Amino acid sequence: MGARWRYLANEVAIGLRRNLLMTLATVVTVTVSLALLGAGMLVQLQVDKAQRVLYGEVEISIFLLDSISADQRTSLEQDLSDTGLVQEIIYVSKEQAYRDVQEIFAGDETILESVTPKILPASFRVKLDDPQQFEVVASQFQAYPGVEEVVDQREVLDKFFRIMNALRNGAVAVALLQLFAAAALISNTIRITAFARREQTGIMKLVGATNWYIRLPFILEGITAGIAGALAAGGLLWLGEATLVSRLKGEVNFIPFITTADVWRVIPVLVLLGAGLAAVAAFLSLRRFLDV
Amino acid sequence: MIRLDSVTKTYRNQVTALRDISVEITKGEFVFLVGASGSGKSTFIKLLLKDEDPDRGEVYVAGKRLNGMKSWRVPTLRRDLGCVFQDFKLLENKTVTENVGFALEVIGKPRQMIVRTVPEVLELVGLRHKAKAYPGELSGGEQQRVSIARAFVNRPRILLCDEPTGNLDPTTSVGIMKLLDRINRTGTTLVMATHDQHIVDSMRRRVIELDDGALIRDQTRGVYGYGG
Repeated sequence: MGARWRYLANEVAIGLRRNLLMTLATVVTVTVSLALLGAGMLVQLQVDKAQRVLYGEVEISIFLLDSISADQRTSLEQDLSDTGLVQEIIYVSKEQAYRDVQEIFAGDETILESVTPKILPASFRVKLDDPQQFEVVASQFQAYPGVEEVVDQREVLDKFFRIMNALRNGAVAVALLQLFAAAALISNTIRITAFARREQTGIMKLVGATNWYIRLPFILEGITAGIAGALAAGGLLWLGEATLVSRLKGEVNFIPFITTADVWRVIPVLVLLGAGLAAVAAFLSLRRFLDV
Repeated sequence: MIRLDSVTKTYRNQVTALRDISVEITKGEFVFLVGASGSGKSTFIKLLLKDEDPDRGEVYVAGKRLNGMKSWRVPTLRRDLGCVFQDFKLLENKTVTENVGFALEVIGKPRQMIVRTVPEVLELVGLRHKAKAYPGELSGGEQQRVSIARAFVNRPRILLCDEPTGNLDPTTSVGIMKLLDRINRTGTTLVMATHDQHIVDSMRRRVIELDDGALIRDQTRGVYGYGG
């Protein structure tokens, strides 16, 4: 067996060196495509995480007119809990709203200076048993005396999530195109290698080497490039997480972010994809160019 | 050992290379395959190697029916066959030892077996002293001996030679023929396609003559001369 492994390692090294530029192009393309795909996967993880927390926290805000009387407010609160759809009602006074704003925009003087307790409406923050029941609650309380507006906060979030999903879809679409290019490059590299080795391959066929024995160096060559690309892509994602996301974490502290552990979860998937894609591309082009 | 039953082979460009050939070659025979260029000699050899498939008829080699043989079984067939060609087909970047060892290496033989067997077969072809030379440093006759060593190192039951002396001068050719004769005497069936009238006439072995794909003569202890 020793001879066989030495032969394989040797052939793969020769093949990769012979087409150094081609190999580099392949690795870079695989890297870019898998990095994009991995980024798409991480965005998805991020959306899942944020959704779980944000949808759980924010439901409906019922903004109140400044003119609302204490009686109107009490009966509004009573009627809200009488609907039987409500899990929790929190009254946010104008002062509380002002404190919230000060907290959220801490350090941003221009905003803080322009905001006074006066211009902020008081509101009820309402958590529903079933978030889907928003329409029922909204239609019932929209025209209620003293109510200015009923806002489904999820709609605001949905906008944010729609943007995230679009980002993810874009990344995945470009990644798929790139993966196709990577497969084409691998196929082309193998054609060149197959041509350079045609004498050797011919002799191997004549003396009765099995088809798999002939194919293996080519396929391993492809897989090596695929795995190298996947690992480089993993490195880029890790770097992105360590710099970009870590900085965001410092600035935005009301949603949870993906962690390095999530990047580690994505990397094995990328390696499998890179290796698998390369193996399939290599196998198919061998049938064409080597007739084995 | 080899049997062709009514074999016809037409290439895609409508050239008929073999027409209704039936022939049987038994174990240990030495057979010359003669005929002009394009008479179908090479196609005959390619059919035995299962490098080509016949359009009609059956081919049997080393006890195996080649028609309908699965492609993954072909390597097993070829381990029973040694091949020698006019152009030697040696790898320039490997030494004599490595070229011969390559044939064993790629069919997964263990290293110790290769190290033991290759010098033996180099001894047989008289090239023990050139073991570390590269093909470019050898004469044509020596290169053909390396090629024969590679074909024979796995002790195949059949040795197929396609114009093995085609690139060699007469004196060198005689040496190669002596070597092939010795290999034949070990019990190896030998089929040799050739143009070389002198060799065929001096060896007086079985001669099968092809003309435009048809078998026109099958003669034991024959000579090259057409129709003779």
